[in-house]
Amino acid sequence: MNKTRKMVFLSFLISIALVIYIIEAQIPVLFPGIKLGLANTISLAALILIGWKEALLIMFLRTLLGSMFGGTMSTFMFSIAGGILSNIVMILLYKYFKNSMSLWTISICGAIFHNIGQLLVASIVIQDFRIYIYLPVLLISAIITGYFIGWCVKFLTNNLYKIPMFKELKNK
Amino acid sequence: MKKGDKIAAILILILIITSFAGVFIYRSHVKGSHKIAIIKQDGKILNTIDLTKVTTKKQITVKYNKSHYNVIEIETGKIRIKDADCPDKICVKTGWISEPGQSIICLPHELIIKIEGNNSKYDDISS
Repeated sequence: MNKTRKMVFLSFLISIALVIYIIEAQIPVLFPGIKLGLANTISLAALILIGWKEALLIMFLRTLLGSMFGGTMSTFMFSIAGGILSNIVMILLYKYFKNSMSLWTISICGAIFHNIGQLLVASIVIQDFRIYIYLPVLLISAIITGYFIGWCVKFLTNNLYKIPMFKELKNK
Repeated sequence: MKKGDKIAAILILILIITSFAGVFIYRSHVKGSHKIAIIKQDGKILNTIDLTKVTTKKQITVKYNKSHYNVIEIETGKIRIKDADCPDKICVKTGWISEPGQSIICLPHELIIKIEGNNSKYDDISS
């Protein structure tokens, strides 16, 4: 698979993640910060099917473009902080614990660290650590959404494994 | 469930319990009979208002970066953000707060209103 082909394919993935993100942003917010995080299915699936660099790239570009389309500079900061932290955690967990941990756990941990990252940035912006009062509620929602995303990625990977294109991408 | 799952599950459970405990301890620590609302923006305290001493309805407009605003409404014992020009208006949707420990936050405008105090009779996790 040559570089151009790979770049085009990754762009497709990023735009899919972007569309998911924008549609999801239309859903009214129950509580400041609780989101389904559906766009992370693409990042996590990319991590498993392709590689960690690509997953990080997808997450970063999707967040960048997403906040240009549907948010402000501040949403970008929070999403990036949460996104990078959660992605790194998922990459490490997947690399070292791939066999002893199931997908759902990795996804849940990713979601939890996403929230922790966002709260961290928020507490720095407001210069008040009391925002961590939101942590318990966010943790519970992170577990629920993480589990759901885990299922989504499970279905995705189970079926996408069979497509030869992904085998090419992985072996580069 | 594999072995790694169990370890992660235990760690997460500990995290949840710690965070709930932390919030609980914080709440019972902040007790109040005199409800004092503190309005902070960008880390600097703009206003300190004793809510129990408020007699008439008051309105304050707080500016952010010259062009953005939050309108704060104060009545006896409670305070809220009545209007704001931030994109999500989560601060407006939060509504009235009246108990120590509660807070209203407008993240885009770096604004936080929180109620300090001693001896609160009520205790709730979310505002």
